[in-house]
Formats: sequence, C-alpha cells, structure tokens
Amino acid sequence: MDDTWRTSAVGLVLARPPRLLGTEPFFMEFIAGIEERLAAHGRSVLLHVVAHHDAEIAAYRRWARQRLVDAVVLVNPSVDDARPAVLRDLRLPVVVAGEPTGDNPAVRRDDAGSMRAALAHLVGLGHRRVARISGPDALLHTRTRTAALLTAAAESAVDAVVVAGDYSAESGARLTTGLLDGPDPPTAIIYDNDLMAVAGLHAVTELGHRVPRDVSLIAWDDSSLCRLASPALTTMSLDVHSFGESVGESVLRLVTGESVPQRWCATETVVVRGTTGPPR
Amino acid sequence: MSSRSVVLDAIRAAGTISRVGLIRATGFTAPTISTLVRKLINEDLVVETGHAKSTGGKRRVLLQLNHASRYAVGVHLDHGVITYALTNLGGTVVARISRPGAGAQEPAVVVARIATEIAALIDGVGVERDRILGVGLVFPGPVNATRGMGGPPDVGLAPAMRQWNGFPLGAALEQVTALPVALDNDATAAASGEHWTGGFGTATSAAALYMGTGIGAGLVVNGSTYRGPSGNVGELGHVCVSADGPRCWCGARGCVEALAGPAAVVAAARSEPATARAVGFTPGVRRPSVVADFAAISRAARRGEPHALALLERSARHVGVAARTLANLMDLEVLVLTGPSLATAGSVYLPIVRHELRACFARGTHTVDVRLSRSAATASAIGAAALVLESELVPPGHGPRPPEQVPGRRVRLTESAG
Repeated sequence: MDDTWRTSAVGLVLARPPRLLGTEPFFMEFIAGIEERLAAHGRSVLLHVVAHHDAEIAAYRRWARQRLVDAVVLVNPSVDDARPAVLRDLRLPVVVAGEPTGDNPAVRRDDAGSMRAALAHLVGLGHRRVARISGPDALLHTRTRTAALLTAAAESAVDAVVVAGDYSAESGARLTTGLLDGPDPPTAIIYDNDLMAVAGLHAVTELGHRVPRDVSLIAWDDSSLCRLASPALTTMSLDVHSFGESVGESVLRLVTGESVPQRWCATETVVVRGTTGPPR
Repeated sequence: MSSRSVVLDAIRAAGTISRVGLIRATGFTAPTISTLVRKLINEDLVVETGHAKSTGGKRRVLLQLNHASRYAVGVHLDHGVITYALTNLGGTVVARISRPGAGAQEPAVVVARIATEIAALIDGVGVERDRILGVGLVFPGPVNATRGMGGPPDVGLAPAMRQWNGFPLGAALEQVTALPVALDNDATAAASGEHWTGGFGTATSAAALYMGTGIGAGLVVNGSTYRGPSGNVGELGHVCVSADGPRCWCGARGCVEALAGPAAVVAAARSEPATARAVGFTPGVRRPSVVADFAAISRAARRGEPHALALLERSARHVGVAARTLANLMDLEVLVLTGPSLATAGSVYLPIVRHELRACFARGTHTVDVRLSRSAATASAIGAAALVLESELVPPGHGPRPPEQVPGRRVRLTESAG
C-alpha cells in the first residue's frame, strides 16, 4: 500500500460563497458515487471547499506543484470560465462534470431534455403560468435549462419567467415569496435544486397558500430533503450517485491513459409526489 | 487563559458582536474587554468586520472570529474507511478525503499512514503548520486509561478492531505528527460536532443516533457532551430489543446492533438471492466495508426495490424502539440521525423513528424533535475536529454554547448606541 495518496487522489474543488455553509446533499452524494468507483482501485477524492474561483485556481496551482492529485474533476462549468486554460497549462488531466470545456472529456447531463420533461408535466396538468427559480446565471447548465424552458414554453403557449437564485435556502424562500406576492403569480414553480425547493415549500405555506391546490412545486436533484418534506416534493430524478459513478469511471480511464468517451446521464424523469396537481 | 477563552467563546457563539455587546455577554468590565480584544486581534484570532447599524450616536465596530486564522484536523478511524476533515476555526469543512480503512493492519503501520495523510491534507489546503491547532482522532469504541481504544475487558473491541486493544494510540499519533491529539468515541464526537454547529438548537437534553458500521449514540446534556466516568456512554447498539434474540459480539443477547445494525441488514440481504440480485451483490465480490454494502441496499430501496426497502424498514423499527428507550431515559428533546449509514438511508429511517418516538413517555409534556444531520456522511470527522476547536475556544468547565444561544446575539440585534 502506498504511504500517502500523492499518487492516488483525484481533486475536486467546490467554490461557494462562505455563507453557503458546508456542502449541499447533492455534492456529498455525487462524491460518494465517484468514491465508489475509485475505492476499488485504492484511489480517493480530495474535496476542497473554497470561497471563489480565484482560490480554486490557486488550489490547482498548489496541487500541480506538490503533485498531490493526478486528475481533477471540474464542476459547475461557467460562462467565460478561466479554469480549463489554467488546468491545461498545469498539465492536470481533467474530467468535466457537465457541459464540456475545450477538448476535456465530460460526463454530460441532458439538462434541456430534463427541463422539457418538467414543463411537459406541468402543461399536462393544465398550468399556463410557470416560474422557475434557477441556480446562478453564470453556470452553463443554468443557461441551458433557461433556454430549453423558454423555447418549450413558447411552443406550448405558456407564460414562463425565470428568476436567478444561488442554490441557498434563503434565496429559495425569498424569491418564492416575491413571485407569489407579485402581480400575476405563477400557478407552478420549478426549482433548480433541493434546498431552494424545500425552503420555497415552507415559504408558500407561511403565506397561507396550499400546495398543490394553490401552487405546484417541482424540485431538482432528488435527495432525502425532497422525500422527507411535507408534502413530499415532486422532483426531477437525476440519479446523482450514478452521475458520480460515471465521472469516477471516466477518471479511472483518464489516469490509466485509456481513451475516455463522452458520457451522458439518462434524461431525468418526473417523480410525481405530493406537490404537483392541476391549477385551481 | 480562562477570561480569554470566555471572550472568544462569546464572539464565536454570537457570530458578530460589538465590544459593548461583549461587556454585556461576559460581565467583564470595559477595560478588560478592551485589553482582551486587542490581544485576540494581535493573535489574528479575531477581526473587526464593519459597523453595527446606527441607531443614532457613535456606530459600533463589530468583531468576529477570523475563521481562516486557525484550523483543526478531524480523523475518523474505522475498519473499512478512514475519513479526514480539515475545518477552519468556525468548524466549517475546508477539505475532506476518505482513505482505505485500518483493516487488519498493524496499528503502528496505520498510525504512520495517518500521519502522512494528515500532512498531505494540510499541504493540499495550503495552510502553514503553525495554524493547525491539533488533531482530533475518533474511533468506534471508548477511550481507555492509556489513551487507546477500550471495550469490555472479556471481549475488548468489536471484532474488526481487536488488534487495537492495548495500543497507545494518542501518544503514538502525537509522536509522529508532532501535533496535540485529542481522542474520543466516534458517536460521541458526532454529537459534539452537531452541538458545535448548532444542530441541537437550545435543547437541554439532546442526542445523536449514529449509524456507521455499528450503532451508537452521543449525548449532550445542558450544553455539555456527557462522557460518563469511563467513556462508555450512549452504547445504544447494545440496548436489548429482544430478550431471546441472537447473541451479539459483545457477549449479550438481543442487542439492537446484532438484530438490526448495518452488518445484520447486509447479511440478511446477502442471504436472500432475490434481494442480493436486486441490490447488485455478486457472490464472492465484496465492497470495502459494511457501510458501502449498506449504502448499496439504501440506493436499491430508493429505486423502489421492495425487498431492500422491507429490510431497511424492519431495521428502522428496531432502531426506533431502541431510540424510544434512550428518549425515555434521557427525557430527550432532540434526536439527530447521523453517520454514514444514515446519510444514505436516512429518508427511510427518519419517518419510522419519528413515529416510534411519538409513543415516548414524555409525550404529554413535549414532543421529541427527530431530524437528519446536515453532515451525516462526515459527522464523526467533523466532530473530531470540533474536539480540538473546543479545547481552544471554550472555557474549561463550560460546555460550548451553540450559535444564537448566548446573550451576545440578542444584544447585537437589539443594541442601541444610546
């Protein structure tokens, strides 16, 4: 057995504002999936949480200098992303979790198809005024989902508005209240993650509305939080663990010098629970 | 030492607080606060962070902990996996890694590996050595008098960890890391970590129900972690739920861990061919740990596999009965479900345990609030780091107060400058 992990760790830096304490359930499940694949080969995931992309890039430079990791999993690819070029200069092999950047191998999610499925569920129930509380607008997958929603809504003659949150419970609650207190409140809201949706559900209840009678809610990233909410949240069923396993598989091929195919996660389907129904 | 840590603790618990707020929160005089705060700022432990909202008159400077000024390392040593967490002064996880477990290796070999892995973790985060306060090391068993792992004298530790009986773990790790080392039981540490990060709120009687390889519990009473005279507190896994039940490794009969713990659930799944297939168990192929096998069962249940779900629900009912015993003995107000096995299966266990606790004896007076931990997967390693932070930040003889409980917080919100 090796004395240290200097030749057997894969790095993953999570850049998030300090007030989003800890890591949300999504990333722990995602990392567990990667670890499941790597552990069989004695490899591990080094998770490092930093406040912003500059600190993330500093971590990559440090790791390259120390030869501490032999590959990096890049998460949350974003608009004008400086990270891929830095990683290329540092000669750190990369697997992107999400939309590919440069010629790096990627494990992609069908964000457009999944968003169309979410909207189709609501349209099928009769909703014509739909809102979405998204993740940060600088993230590529946020933009992909937004474009897919607006296109599909136009095709179905549905009014759709998108407001940008930051994945925090606080933003989910605040934006939900704003939408429902505004003129022409939506009859359904789609959330880009679980934390914002659970907080949104509480906010709706506090305003004296009933779910799903007054407003329907769909969460993203099915987690324990969604299943344990009351009523349990209807969610888009990304299998986060197997997303992580696919990334782990790509990382293993990358570090052993094999060719790495682009992988896709299955298009998410709607898991109907207690928060979606026909509009009043 | 003690007045300094009283002030540090008040600042930590308040989040942000002014010097006037500190005078009210600690009862110290203005010159004492002024001197202590100046020292803490010189030591880089506290920073000034802007001004309180003005209500007329002079605006007050707010103080907060400088979270990036010091760090602590938490290590959870187990048979199947060793988990490391590096936290900042505020207890927030900055880095985390899981490495292969202790297995059947010689303790001295494992300790040497832990030391190099700690060093690599510190290097990876880019923190100078002198900013590391120490190492918290926790494991599935009580701490014995020679700062090693203990257990019942006739059987010692759980079978997987037997080679650690009698090994002076604390001294050995201090020698190779050259850092102070604090030791604790892993379930107790999970409870301390939960308290430190505010997961118990202001409850006077709270517990963490820990499920990893086995089952345990940690207790926080009146704001302090309760360890008992010998560290053998909260052995929830050895609560009897069936007087004629199977023999447990500890020597007794009918322990909830023997009947319904993760290892028992995994064994049951392996013994039923239909369940084993549904879960993806291949005969002869084993995952590195009971926890990993148990996680596979949890994921199968989440996919809607009825056999896997039935096994977990049966286990959850037994665990719920044991939890009710704990609630009745301790007059519990809060029970947090935590540990790697509940990180994956928590959504099955929570409603069942909650239902069972509706029958607790105190129900006429108060309910028991049952929650899932926000950091169930890494709870013990985070709690291990919190042990180190506590020794630096909390006055001796006090328990740490959870965030938002001390007067300082209220003072800040209602403070007038008049």
